[in-house]
Amino acid sequence: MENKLYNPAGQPKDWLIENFVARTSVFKKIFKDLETGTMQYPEQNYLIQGQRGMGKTTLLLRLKYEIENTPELIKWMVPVFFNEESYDLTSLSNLWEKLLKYLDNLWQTGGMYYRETDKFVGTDDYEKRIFELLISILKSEQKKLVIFFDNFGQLFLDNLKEKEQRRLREVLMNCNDIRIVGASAIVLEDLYDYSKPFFEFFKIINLEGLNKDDTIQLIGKLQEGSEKKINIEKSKGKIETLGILTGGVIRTIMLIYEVILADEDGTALQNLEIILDRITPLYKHRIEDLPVQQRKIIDVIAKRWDAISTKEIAENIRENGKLMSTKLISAQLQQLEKNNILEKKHTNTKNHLYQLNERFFNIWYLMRNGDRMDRCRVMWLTKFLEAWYDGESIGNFIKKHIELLQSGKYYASSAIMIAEALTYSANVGFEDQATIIKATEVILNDDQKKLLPQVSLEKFNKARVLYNEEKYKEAIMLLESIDQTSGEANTLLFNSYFNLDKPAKAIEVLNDGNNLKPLLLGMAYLKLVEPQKAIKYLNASLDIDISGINIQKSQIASAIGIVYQTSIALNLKRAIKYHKLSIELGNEKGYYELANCYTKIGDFVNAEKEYLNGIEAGDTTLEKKLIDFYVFKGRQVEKALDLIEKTRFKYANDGDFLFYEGFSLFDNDNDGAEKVLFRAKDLLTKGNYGSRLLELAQIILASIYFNNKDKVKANAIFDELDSKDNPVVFLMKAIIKVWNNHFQESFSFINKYLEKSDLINFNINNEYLEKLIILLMAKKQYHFVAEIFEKGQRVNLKDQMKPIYYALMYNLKDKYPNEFLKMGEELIQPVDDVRRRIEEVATEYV
Amino acid sequence: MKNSLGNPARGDAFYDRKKEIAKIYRVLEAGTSIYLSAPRRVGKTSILKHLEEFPKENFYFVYIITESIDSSNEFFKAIFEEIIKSDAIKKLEQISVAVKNVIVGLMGKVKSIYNVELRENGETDYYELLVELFSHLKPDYGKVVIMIDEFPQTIQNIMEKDGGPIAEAFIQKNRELRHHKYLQDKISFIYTGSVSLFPMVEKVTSLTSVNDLRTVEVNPLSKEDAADFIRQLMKNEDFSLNDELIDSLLSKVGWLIPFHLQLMQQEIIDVFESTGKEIDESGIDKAYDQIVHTRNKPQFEPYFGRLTKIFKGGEFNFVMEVLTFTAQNSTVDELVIADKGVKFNIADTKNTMSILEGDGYLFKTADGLYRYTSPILQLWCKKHICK
Repeated sequence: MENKLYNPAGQPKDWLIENFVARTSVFKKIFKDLETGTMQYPEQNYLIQGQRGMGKTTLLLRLKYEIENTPELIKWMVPVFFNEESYDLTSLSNLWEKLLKYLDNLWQTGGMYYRETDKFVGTDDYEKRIFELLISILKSEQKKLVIFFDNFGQLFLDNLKEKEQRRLREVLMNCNDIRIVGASAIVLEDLYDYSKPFFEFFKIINLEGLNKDDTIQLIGKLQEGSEKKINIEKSKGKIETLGILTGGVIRTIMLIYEVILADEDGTALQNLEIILDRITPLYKHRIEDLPVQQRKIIDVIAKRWDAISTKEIAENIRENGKLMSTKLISAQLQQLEKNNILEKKHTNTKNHLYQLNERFFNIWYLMRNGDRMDRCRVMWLTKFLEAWYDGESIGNFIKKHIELLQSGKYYASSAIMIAEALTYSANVGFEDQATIIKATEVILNDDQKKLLPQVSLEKFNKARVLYNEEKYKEAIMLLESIDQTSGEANTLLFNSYFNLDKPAKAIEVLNDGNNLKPLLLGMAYLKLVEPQKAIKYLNASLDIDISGINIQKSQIASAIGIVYQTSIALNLKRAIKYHKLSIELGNEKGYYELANCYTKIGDFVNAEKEYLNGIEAGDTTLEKKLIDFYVFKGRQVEKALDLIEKTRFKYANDGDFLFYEGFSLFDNDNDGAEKVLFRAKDLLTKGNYGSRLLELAQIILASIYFNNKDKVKANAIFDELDSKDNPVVFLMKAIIKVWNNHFQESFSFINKYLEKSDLINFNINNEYLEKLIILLMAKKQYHFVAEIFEKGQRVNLKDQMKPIYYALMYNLKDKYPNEFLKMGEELIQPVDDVRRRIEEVATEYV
Repeated sequence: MKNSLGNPARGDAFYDRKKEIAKIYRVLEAGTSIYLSAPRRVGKTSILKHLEEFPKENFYFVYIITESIDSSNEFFKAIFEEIIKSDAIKKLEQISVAVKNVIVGLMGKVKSIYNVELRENGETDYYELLVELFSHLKPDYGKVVIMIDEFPQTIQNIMEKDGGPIAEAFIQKNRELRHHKYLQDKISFIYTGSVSLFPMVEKVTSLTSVNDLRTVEVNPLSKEDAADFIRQLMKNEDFSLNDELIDSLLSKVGWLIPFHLQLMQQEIIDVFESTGKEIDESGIDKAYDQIVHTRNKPQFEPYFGRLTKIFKGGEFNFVMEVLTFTAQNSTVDELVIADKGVKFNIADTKNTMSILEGDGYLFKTADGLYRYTSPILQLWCKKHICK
């Protein structure tokens, strides 16, 4: 495995040729050029570029082997392969020396060629001399060299001095005895300065990540001869995901394939550790070369693994206790993207997502820089496992893995990694996690055992009990001591904070791996009264699997509807959409809100229809609500009375119900109304409803008594009336006080009324206000009425009650002689009417 | 014909530049040395290599590239050694026993046998050796033409290493050599390079030091030749392009130098291979768009990278601003140039503009506006250099 994945040169030639599936077309292209180029003149040189693990080395070797296997070529061509560890090749003369040694070795000259270079030691043009020596040897042997040079960029080109660079150009331009096929890894911000003189002699070939078909073909090849084959046809989607998650990097695809499908003893992960150690200096160096802010950004992105938005990055970076501005981050992101370190994933919105371009670098970063606190060391592995296995099939994987552990051959460190990866997966339940930990422990020594995630099943169960007993703080303490944060534990932690009324903290503790995250976020934002965010996350939660919890999707849809309906995110059309969805999802109680929305937009026809639908669907609570609707919104007293009649047997002792009846009768049959309302009032008072209907019943009764001039009953009911903020109640109280000649108290109610009232109130309560003013004037409280008009200026009270105003001015013409004169002729009659009415009232309400 | 993109075209990859070659011979026959002038990548080196490989009767060409050389003696040494090794001398040796003896004698002087130099006290003066070698050649053997590629770069190297006066002496020494009595009617030189010679000379001395050179310009291909060139390139491929498509290809490329035609052909093949569809007008468009893809960076970056060598400080900033301005606006007029000259404090914008013109970046139209010579280069600049 180590050989296969990380050291292609160590593989048997036949094996490599047999298993060369991924880069066939570029192989054919270059080989055709090598085969047909006679090297009579200098030929095209190649530089193959790509991320680590893209198959560069394998491609070089494959080309070399093909030359070796082509008799006509091997007659005159000498293919040389310099591997990645050719650290001694730092100058042009080193290269010629190394080639001379190679030829000595190849032709077993006993070191003759290289010894000839001794003569030139110390000369100014040493490099030129030994180059000419090399060329003369090649000419005399009638051979041509093809150098396959791995890591050509970092090991060689980067080290050349300026003069050597120009020399290299001279050589490439003139020399027809040597041709180069180099490969160069792009690591992070590696970008060549292509204006260097020799570059134009290289054809640059970029190896991109494998596409879907290539990946499928590779997997097919990998499982040739294997007993447990995956059904490629069925797994195409998963393979595609695998391709995307790995960035199409061959080595990573192979690694993941081994780990999740074919590894019998943990070798794959074992070897991963080895290669990670080997590349650590390189990656570390690259990271350290980055400016500090960029390093911080990389840290956040790498530890997230999945693509992340600028805003999310900003939320996770602090500089001297302050959050870094998104503007600054954007600028750095741009730079990092330009330098090929990051890849920008376009979204439908302006907010693009970023992830590390080189996925293998991301794996390295997590493995070497992720600590146990972050729980992200093996996050990549968790993600791959989750991508490949769904909730059900992961069980089979676990079973198989435990069997492998029991075989006793499994590498301990690999077993720990798998255990970690599985325990951090939200797809793996606590019982399964405990089983894995237990099975893994068996093969570990005491020191290794400490590295395992803690077994937390008991703690979790205890926390659940505490939670059910509403001991949230205690539950939180336990949950926070649990090492792994699977979905269940995380949800419980969230709920504990949520129930402690700490929604912000609840959001903070939410784990990315928690499948329910959108839903929980939605709930928390509801509690935080951030409707836009709540809607966003609740909506997202409609697409996730929430089986196994106590909430139905229909409820979520309904919640979204209600937020749209009632919050500042008001959008009734959307509310209707979600209520309908909720009903479709089986929410029988959804009709009421739906009808409510229609009512709010004034679509009474549909509102009534939905009430009726709801009743038909079995929600009988809607009967009363429909009556309420008929009474207050639909203005369909007939229908209300009809329905009241039909349902009376159910609601004979229901205060609300009686109120509706009374209210429906009001105006047409005030005696009947009084009787029913009085009973309703009693029931509502006893019923401890605190209902708005009680107040309404009292107001209507008060109004009836006032109209009937029944002062005793009126006083009784008015005493019952009490409100801190209902303007109508203040108005009614003012009226009864005036009636009783308690002017000071009356004035104070009127002032309260004026304070609370706005234009709308004035319009609606005009009738009572008019009654009050007339009554006041009947009691000769002209100046106070003048004050009312003064205070009522902001709502144009004068204009609304012109006849009353001029009747008042008539009475106050000594004080305001000019006002009365302003009265237009058309008002003479109405003012007279008012004055007559005042006189009547004066006698009626003594 | 093989697409030799990036490398000097050799053998059957070389497209015969009849006009240029005829002109070179005309000048050489008159006994004059040449400065072969052309913007980079027009095909100078290919022409020199072709002359070397397929000389006219009685002509012996020796090609030397001196790009990495940074001292006068090293320069003449390189010429000396190349001549000794060259096919030209081998042929002369066959003609004349005397030549052979001369060389053996000279080799004795440097105590070196081919690659092996046994050092004596002091440095060998290769200039003197060269003169001596030439003194033994007779005019009736034929004409030896020494072709020095990247000569301006060598001047630059010397100037950077040892300063202006040394570089000036180097230029003068070359002039001396050309006019040496032992070289008359026997030896000629062709100088060339991807950096323009005259501005480089002017940096260290006056142009009189090179006024004996006759400038021969390498022009882009004519439309007919360019069409023929494309057809030749396409012969190796599995598909062909009809005349109409070739026409439209040429009008897109605009500046018909072999290099840009090779680039275009390469991209057309790429389009053909990646789409698997017969090339039509849209295929040509796609290929043209692809040319300026980052992967061709090695091909274009040097166009702009080399400017840092030619121009320094404010002058470099001025040049980049003129080039990017022109890339974005397609033309630049005298007023803008003057304005930018003031901005960067350039006293003589004319000289700078003439370098840009001479090096093939811009050309002046009849109405006095500068435009990009190559629409492809303009597009590259617009896409990759302009902010």
